[in-house]
Amino acid sequence: MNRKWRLALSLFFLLVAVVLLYWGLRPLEHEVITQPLPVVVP
Amino acid sequence: MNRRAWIPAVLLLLGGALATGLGSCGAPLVEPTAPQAVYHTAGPLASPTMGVEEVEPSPQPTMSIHALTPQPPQVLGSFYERRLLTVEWPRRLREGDGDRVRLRLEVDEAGTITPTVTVAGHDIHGQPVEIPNLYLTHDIYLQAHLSAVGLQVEPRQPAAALLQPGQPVEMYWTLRGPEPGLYQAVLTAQLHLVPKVEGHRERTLPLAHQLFQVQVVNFLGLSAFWVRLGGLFSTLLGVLLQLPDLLEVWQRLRGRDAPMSSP
Repeated sequence: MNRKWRLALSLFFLLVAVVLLYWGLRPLEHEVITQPLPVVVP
Repeated sequence: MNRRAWIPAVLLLLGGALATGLGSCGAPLVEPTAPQAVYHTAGPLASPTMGVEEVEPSPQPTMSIHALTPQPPQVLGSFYERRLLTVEWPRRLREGDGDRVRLRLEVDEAGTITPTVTVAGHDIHGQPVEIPNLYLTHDIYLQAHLSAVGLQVEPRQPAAALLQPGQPVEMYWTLRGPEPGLYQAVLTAQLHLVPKVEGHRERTLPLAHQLFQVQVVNFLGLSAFWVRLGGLFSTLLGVLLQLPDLLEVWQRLRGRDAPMSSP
């Protein structure tokens, strides 16, 4: 395998690694709601 | 002309001058009454209990501005405590991964909405809540339960926390998605009032039933663990494929530096 093919394969695997690690490690989105509550009267 | 004939005329002139002078001197004595009247009108405007009707006779525009300024309700602060219920949950979960659900009952002194999470991309909306000050007569517990069919929830049992005056309360659950899909979850919160003294009865007051959806996803059929492992393996493979070339470059640099370093 010549140098060009090794370089191409290496870049391909590094690109795949970036995609997989980004998907697997990125922080997940959260949703926040501040909800109205009823007025409690004893 | 007889000189005595001028005397009454001179006396008349002097009398007129005196009367005019007294009149002009009397004016400054009267003028301070007007500011005094304004001052007395402005005085009660500073009071928070002043009504709008008392302001209307005032001719000064600045006084009406002061009077129309809304005063904070003094009574509410001593009897009510404003709190907000905030629920935070993950919209998406990676298959096999866990994430948290957070319930927070916080004090909002300003009576407005207080965002509690600073992560970007969140939607925050809501209203303040007034809870009567029952701390003197009751122990107030916040009870909450999270249920989600198809998802693994920890802890499964209802959680409870004692409310303290002016202190926020937080509760956390962990969600884990074993399989991809769209799941429904319900978070139920209620106040449990336990009386400290006799004469009051134990009560449970429902606060909220928050329904939300959680989507569990995978990557081309791979769970989060295998995706991360694949990323690590691809990184190693990419570096190993370039290792011969990297070694060659390193040896070249070393060989070029060697003659330069030798004397």
